[in-house]
Amino acid sequence: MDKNQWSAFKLRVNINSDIQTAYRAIATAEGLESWFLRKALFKDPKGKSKEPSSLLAARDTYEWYWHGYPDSVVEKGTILKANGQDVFAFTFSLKCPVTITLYKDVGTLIVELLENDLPTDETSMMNHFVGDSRGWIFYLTNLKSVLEGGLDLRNKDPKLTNVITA
Amino acid sequence: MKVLPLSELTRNRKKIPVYTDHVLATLSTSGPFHCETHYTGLGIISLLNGKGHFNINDHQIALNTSSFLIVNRGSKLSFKLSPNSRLVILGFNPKLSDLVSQTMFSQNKKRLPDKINIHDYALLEHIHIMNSTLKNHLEILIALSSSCASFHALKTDMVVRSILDQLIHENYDAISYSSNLSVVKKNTQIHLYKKLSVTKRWMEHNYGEPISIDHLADIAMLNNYHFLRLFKQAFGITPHQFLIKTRLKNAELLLKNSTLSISDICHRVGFESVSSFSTLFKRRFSKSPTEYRRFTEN
Repeated sequence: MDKNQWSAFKLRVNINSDIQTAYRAIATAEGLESWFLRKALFKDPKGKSKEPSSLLAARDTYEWYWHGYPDSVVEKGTILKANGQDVFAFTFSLKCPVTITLYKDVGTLIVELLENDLPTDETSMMNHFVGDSRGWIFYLTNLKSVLEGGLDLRNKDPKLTNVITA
Repeated sequence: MKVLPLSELTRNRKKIPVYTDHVLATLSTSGPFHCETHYTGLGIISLLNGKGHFNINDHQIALNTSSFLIVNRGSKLSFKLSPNSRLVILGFNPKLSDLVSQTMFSQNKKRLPDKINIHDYALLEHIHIMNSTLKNHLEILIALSSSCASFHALKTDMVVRSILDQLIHENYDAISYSSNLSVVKKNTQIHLYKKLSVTKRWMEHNYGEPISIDHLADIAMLNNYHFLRLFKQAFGITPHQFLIKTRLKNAELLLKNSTLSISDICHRVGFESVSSFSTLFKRRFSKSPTEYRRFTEN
């Protein structure tokens, strides 16, 4: 198989919601905490903390904390693009860019996630392509569930480990 | 991170191993276990169960669940484990550790003496007191190594990086403090620094107990005068001043995070008299313990 096929993956999920609501769910701290993170802290380029409800902007930096893990397990990165409407991009695993785009397809809102520039050595392919795509599949499903008024599917019990929901 | 069998990690009898990624090996013993002498990469050795005797560069070290060992790149290691032990070895990717330490050392403004090898961890190669954060991190790594958790590789990287950052910070401090010791021979400097560092860590874990200079010098295996002089030289502070600082720092945490009375906090952190505790606390934080608690509550 061509190694380039392991350097990126794209996932799409249809959600019964509007673009503005979905954009706030991916581009504000409180939105991200509703379906993705236990705690999301953002600072602007001058180092000032951002309000949980304020829209994020390019060059903001983040600290992300996960359900099921202590605060010492923290992912740090940068917002690469936030157009205030339908595109939100940030650095993620191994500093690879993740771009989320919102658009309509056959009259339905599509949330499309692209993670690219993944290294294609054997270990990274096994760990990051598989691990990241599997992680995003769950979290995008949870975004759909939360935005459509359903359950938050995340495991929030730190004593329970080895589950796909955290 | 790669998960390897222990035999893979300890097979290097003739040359220093170069890991292409972080590596994790675990071993549970049912009977006695002996591992022959081999070369190590930079890493952490810990026991989650049982006990073991380690021989590192001809120094004998007894390890149990309340301690861990840092091993330097290129050290010679052999060990024996007792039955029902659970060994964890975490080896760091040398490229990443070199890159991170290079960045950290170049960003720091304090000038270190020339000819210092910032990738040498000999100063940290000794027994360390286990802390709950590291124990927790090792347990998370073991769990993630066979987990279906979302983003397991990313989370593994975050945990390893957190441990590595801490290690590099400690090495920076060790290089920085040890360079204050006015000794000519490098081996003497390493030897003395390790003794002082172990004693300093011991104080950080036992500050609540009555501690005498005799006892500290005994732990450092130095005579009182020599210990006092070298400790001040390395850390720029006397052992007594360090102890007071440690007690006050922990008192501050208890005032912030507990409902214990001032008197209980005073005795818990090792002060005998509430009035001397209050005086020292006010001198350091510009507020009495009561005022400080009220201030943090508001």
